[in-house]
Amino acid sequence: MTFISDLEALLGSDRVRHHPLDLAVFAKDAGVVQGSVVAAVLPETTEEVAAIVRLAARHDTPIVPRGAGTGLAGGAVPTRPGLLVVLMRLDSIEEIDTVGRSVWVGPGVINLDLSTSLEPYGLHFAPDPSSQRACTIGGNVATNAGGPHCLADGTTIAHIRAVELVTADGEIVVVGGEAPDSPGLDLRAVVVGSEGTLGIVTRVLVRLVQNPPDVATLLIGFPSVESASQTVSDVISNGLIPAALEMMDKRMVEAVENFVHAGYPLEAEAVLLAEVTGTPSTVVSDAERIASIASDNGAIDVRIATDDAERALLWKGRKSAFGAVAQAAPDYYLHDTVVPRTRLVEVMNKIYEIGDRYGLTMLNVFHAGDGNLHPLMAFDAKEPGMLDLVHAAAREMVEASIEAGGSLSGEHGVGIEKRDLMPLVFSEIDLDAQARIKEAFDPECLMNPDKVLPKGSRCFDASGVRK
Amino acid sequence: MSQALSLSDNSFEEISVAVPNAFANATYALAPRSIEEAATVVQSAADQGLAIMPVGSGSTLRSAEADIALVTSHLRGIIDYQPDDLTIVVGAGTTLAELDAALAPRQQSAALPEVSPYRTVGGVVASGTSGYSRLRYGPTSDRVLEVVMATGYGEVVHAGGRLVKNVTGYDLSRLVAGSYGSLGVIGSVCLKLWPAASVRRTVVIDNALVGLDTLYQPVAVLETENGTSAYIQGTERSVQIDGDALGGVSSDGFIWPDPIRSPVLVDVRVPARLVPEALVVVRSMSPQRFVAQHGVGVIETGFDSYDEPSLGELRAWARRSGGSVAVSAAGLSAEQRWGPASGAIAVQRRILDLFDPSGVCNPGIFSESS
Repeated sequence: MTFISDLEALLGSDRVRHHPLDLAVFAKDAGVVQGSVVAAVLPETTEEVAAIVRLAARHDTPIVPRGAGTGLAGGAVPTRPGLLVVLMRLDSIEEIDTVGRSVWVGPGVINLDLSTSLEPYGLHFAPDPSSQRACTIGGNVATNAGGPHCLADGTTIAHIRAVELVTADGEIVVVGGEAPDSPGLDLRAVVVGSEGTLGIVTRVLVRLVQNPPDVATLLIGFPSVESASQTVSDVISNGLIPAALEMMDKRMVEAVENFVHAGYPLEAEAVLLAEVTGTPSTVVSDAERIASIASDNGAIDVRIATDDAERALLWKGRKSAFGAVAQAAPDYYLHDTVVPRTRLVEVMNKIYEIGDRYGLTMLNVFHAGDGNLHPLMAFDAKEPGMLDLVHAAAREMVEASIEAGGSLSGEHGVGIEKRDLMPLVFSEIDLDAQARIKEAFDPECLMNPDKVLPKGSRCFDASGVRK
Repeated sequence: MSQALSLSDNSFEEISVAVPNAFANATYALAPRSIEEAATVVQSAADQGLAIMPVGSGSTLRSAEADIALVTSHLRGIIDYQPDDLTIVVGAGTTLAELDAALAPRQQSAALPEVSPYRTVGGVVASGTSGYSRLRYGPTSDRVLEVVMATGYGEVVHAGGRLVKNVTGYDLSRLVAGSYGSLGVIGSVCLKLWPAASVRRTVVIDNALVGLDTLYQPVAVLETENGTSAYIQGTERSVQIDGDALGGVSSDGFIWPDPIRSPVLVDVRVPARLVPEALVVVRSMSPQRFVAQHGVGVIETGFDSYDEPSLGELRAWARRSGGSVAVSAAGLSAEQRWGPASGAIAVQRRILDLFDPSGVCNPGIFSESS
């Protein structure tokens, strides 16, 4: 039997998609890389996923797991003809443990849907990527996703207690657990953030956090990117960790204002969006301290929103940033690097210099509080040579970040896009240690091959040219 | 002794004083001055078929047996403190007291175990031991940003980075947390820091679950044989309001329970909602001391001797409840220490084989059978 007919026998023909139109849709995620798909399957149970993995192994076809396809680094794009396992239908939300504050969910549950369903319990799932209306919990686990609120709460890894995983040999295992500190190696540490290269996550025990009793959101306009960046450094070094601390530059503010009219100050060169949470008295004092630090740095405009409607409007501006950019140019490339917070001013200056030198339209909206930069280059991919130019500029920005003690990616992941930049951060010996993890989980290299680790790593070639 | 390992004799120093009695079983005690020297020790040990146990303060593995005690006393000190970035890099042999002393002037904290200042950062990370403020700040592994280690195959590996947010491949630095030296020897660690709150109070409460429900992000809710306390922090005013809401007697600062010092230390780990039930089981064993971490799911207790039947019963109960029991005492086997293995055992086995192909790094530290 052919692979396709085997899959159809297992799942029925409606859950095995291989029409050219389907294959074209599934060949890309939200990034710029195009892949090659043999078929896309839509399992509904863990057991079906396990059977699919065993079948793919028998047919020697690599597997790429996929959630909503909102990733930007090509993590869900098959580099060689592969089977796409789309996990959107594993979307159950099981019984909520309100005392232990956790719940088992399927990887296909949409991030925002989870927090909405938890509203009656006064709890939420902390990671909130900008794509949270579309992205899935499984995708969040795969990329160790962040979002504005991971400044105080930590990235996805801090919010995952256990995962059920179908391993490369089709076994179903659980790593971590409802109880803390399971004996043995804590494999959650490497499974979270592994971009589907170690197995397929089929169930996730997420940790839930309390909704804060009170919230205030500040929108602060600055005369320069430097003064805004300095305010970020000063807030952190004064012992304040706001729930979120986001920055937008003038171009981004203009794009957003055109789009959602949130009342952002158009005369400012940079805008900070800060959110403080806690009990009412701490919220007031933290908001005052941030406003005062901002004033010391020359802030020209401070707005404090305390009612839900105004807060929602301020956040709408931030969360619509990428939609707003679509007005500026047909295509955009969204970058993701990290620098130590104390080096923000210096690296931002360098990034503007690089953008200018390449003559690119660049807008910035980013998680300033944890030094996670997102320079966004708007362009028209139909212009000859434009994509190469964008990639060259992006590489220089990565190098500038790493020179300042930073890193390749803060939350989008490595995928295909950055895998060959890994040697900028790690030595051959360091990468070989990482490759040992891949080999331990997936000795035959069938799980999302060619991702994360650079070309030439052990286990890079699925066809067996392993070192 | 150095010659026995074919090492240049001025690279290492024999330490007989610093090594606790529990390590009397080790044939050699070596204190490398750098992680590169530690890697050389691992290589030599592999060549000669000797087993290594990394030793900090000697409190984690109180009795494990190995040919070489690799003492981290010279891998000690603050390497790079960036208070404005809230990160610090320290040598593995740095004690928690030394770490706290470095952080105190800037009122920062790494939120590591509070009541064992003599323990080393390397030991706490290697054993994945968390402090009582875990309810608020998460486990110790949440603090580990970067690790430099000498692997079991004798290479010096850097994992992670000195950044609070970083996704670049497989996070080996977190995997090292709780690996008990089975992947290699930790040389240094970069920790994420938290600003310490200006006001802290310990409030006696009647009902732990009410405390957990009422308070927003308490640091800890602990129950001991003496009663239950909530640990709250914030501004003068917020702590006042929280304290009044709880209504109990309160004291300035955090008054942590005294450490349990029994010969046999027992950690019961259950889903957090089952702590009250687990307490009933633990109390039925009449321990002199216990500390239950509500909202977390850990109950520490201690006994004078290793009593197989009663600990076996406790372990069976914990397993049925989705948890486990870890026992720390002299002369225990891996099975007695951990109970049965769980969770992707084949993958764990392969990772250990790939990181320690000669089986020199704390071999047999984890139980193998499920």
